[in-house]
Amino acid sequence: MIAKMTIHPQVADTDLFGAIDYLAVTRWFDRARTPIYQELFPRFQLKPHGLVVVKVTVDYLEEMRVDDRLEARSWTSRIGNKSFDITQELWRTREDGGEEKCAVSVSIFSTINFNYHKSEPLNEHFLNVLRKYSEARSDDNAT
Amino acid sequence: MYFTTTVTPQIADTDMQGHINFLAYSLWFDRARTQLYKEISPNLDFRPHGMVVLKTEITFLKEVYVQYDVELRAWVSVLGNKSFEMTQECRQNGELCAVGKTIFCAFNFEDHKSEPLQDSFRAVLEKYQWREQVM
Repeated sequence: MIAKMTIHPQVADTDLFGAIDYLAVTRWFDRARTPIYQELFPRFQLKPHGLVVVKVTVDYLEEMRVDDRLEARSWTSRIGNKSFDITQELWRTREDGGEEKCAVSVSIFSTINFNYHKSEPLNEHFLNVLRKYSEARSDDNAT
Repeated sequence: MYFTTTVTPQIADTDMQGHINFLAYSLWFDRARTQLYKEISPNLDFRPHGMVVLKTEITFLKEVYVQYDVELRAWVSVLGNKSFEMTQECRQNGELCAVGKTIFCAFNFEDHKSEPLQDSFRAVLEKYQWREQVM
């Protein structure tokens, strides 16, 4: 299953060059991970089993504008023993109905046990959520 | 050689996990590059010779806390014909907490396409060239 989120750009996402600033894209990808975060951390399951972000990479493929119609798609691309990757793509729908990929992000997370301040194997709950969002790749039907 | 900027973290940089949120690092690294940007384009308008960001990557090594200043170092780690990479480091209390790499491509905002780096632009980048960060 892929977590999809419509992204609504705002003027504050642009910069003096007239297009979407790259920092806004990083923020949007974080926003798009929220549904997955919410399932990983339901209200009754907090410490000591936590997650920390280890590395975030974003590739900016196409310039975006404030009036673009955008959708972020997120899924688990790798499940390791103590870490996992969330891959995300930002897709734009054109006026003619076609789609194009505008940005890609990969975020690597590691478990952390807050009592021992070390990583630990992913527990059953985390694994269930991550498997639910596992996909080989997102829809790639750019025209 | 690298150049240095000091930033005082603010509450708005933190999140519910109790430390600095990863997005704040992106903003700090952007701020850390301003000194270099101003040498390329003093009024920061980059017309017509500017650059666009192709890729960013940040590796988080250690938590950063809101109550202490952070020292940011930035330098040019790879210099090509059209594109270049900058490496940024974030330190708190002398310890390396995060490393960011940002790849840029020289871009002409009038023609709206990439172009080879202009001589004056390249000269500034060479001034701030330092080792390639191996992470």
